Amino acid sequence: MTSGSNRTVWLVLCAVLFGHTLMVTLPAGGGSETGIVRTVILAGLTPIEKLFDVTFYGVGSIWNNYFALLDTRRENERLKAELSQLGMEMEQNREAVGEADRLRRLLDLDPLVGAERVAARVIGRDTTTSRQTVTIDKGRRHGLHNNSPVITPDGIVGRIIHAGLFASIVQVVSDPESAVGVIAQSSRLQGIVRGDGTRYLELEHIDDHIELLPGERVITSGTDQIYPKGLLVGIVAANGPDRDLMKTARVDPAADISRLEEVLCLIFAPGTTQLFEELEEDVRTGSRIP
Amino acid sequence: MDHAINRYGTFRTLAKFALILVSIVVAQGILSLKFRVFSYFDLPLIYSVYYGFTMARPSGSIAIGSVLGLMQDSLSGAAVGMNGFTKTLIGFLAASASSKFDVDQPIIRVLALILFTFLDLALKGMLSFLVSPGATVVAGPALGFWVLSAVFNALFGLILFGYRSRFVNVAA
Repeated sequence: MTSGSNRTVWLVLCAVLFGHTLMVTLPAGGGSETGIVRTVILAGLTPIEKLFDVTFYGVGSIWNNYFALLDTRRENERLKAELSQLGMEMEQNREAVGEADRLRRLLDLDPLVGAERVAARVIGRDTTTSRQTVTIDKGRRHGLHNNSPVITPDGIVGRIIHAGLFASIVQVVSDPESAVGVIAQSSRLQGIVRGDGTRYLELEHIDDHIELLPGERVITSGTDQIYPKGLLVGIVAANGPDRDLMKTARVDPAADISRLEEVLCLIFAPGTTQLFEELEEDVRTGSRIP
Repeated sequence: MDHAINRYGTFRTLAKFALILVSIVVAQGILSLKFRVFSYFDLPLIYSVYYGFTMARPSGSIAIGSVLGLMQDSLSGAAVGMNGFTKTLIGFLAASASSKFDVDQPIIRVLALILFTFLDLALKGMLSFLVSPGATVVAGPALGFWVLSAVFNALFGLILFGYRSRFVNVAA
């Protein structure tokens, strides 16, 4: 390489590195807004991801429907027995469910009341090794926006951090930069659940002499203004080490975040979560009687 | 006539590269979703090093690394430009190293891939810290992850380089 072309290469390198640094530091790069570069690349790449996903899904369903049906008769017998057992249990639970439903309606505090639900399919996982995000096949065209909560029937998955036109990036609760305001269901202890990049979550709470017991359910508190109150986050697995004034606990996420396929995205009208807070406050203080 | 043929050739080369780059990033996202082990691999990093070592063109490596990084950022939770920065630098370093070292030696390739994986993760950590100093730094699980990622990248890169060497030998 001649010294002239050598200098050109160095100049190009410096210019490109400067351009990337500028993108990282600009608010659209790392902030809550989805920048134009990401929007354009997302719009271009996600259709290809969807195509691959459909192909994988097709091959998987051929396998499941034609080749994996060995031993079906025995499985069928077992399922029939299980079904009748579940039928009896359901009968016993129906009354309790009805009562809970009536109470929830009376209180008007169902966490999903007023939320529009959009079903989405997970089509990809984070392409970098340091973050925990997934790509879903719905975006702004489907009504989603940044900070929309994402859940499964088992529990919360995370929130949308970059809503593209036809696809979005969801930050999973296990992401090292994720934080969710939570409350322990029986002890009513408030805290923050953070991801640490592993399959477990870490619950941080102030040491106020209340012990969290393994098996306790941890639900959203609604204080983060993103997730409505009352959604299941996970189950306390064990108490962790103390950190200054804070105590920690390891939480097993309720949603199977390593095997996500379909998710529900919630869209709240502006101010709905604040409305829940106010309603609950009214009920607590007695100004609103259910 | 010659001019038209040249233009067609350039277009074909660009289209081929675009297809390869898109396939790498999309494959990374889909394979990580379907097979958990792929979250340890960094296919764009491996390709940046592979291109730098085999083509030895610094300007081309800068472009390839930059585009791969930007696409990788867009399909992840990372700030746009984060992987663009690291992959650009790694592509350039790989291309520059190919003129100074004998990168055909498997041991050099393995060491380079391990080193570049650590450099990539360290640079991203530093950039994250500069952008948001309050970001959580998780040292314990991260170190294990770095080592595993480096080992997986080195192994996969070795297979890729081995495959290319065989292909070149057969062609020769």
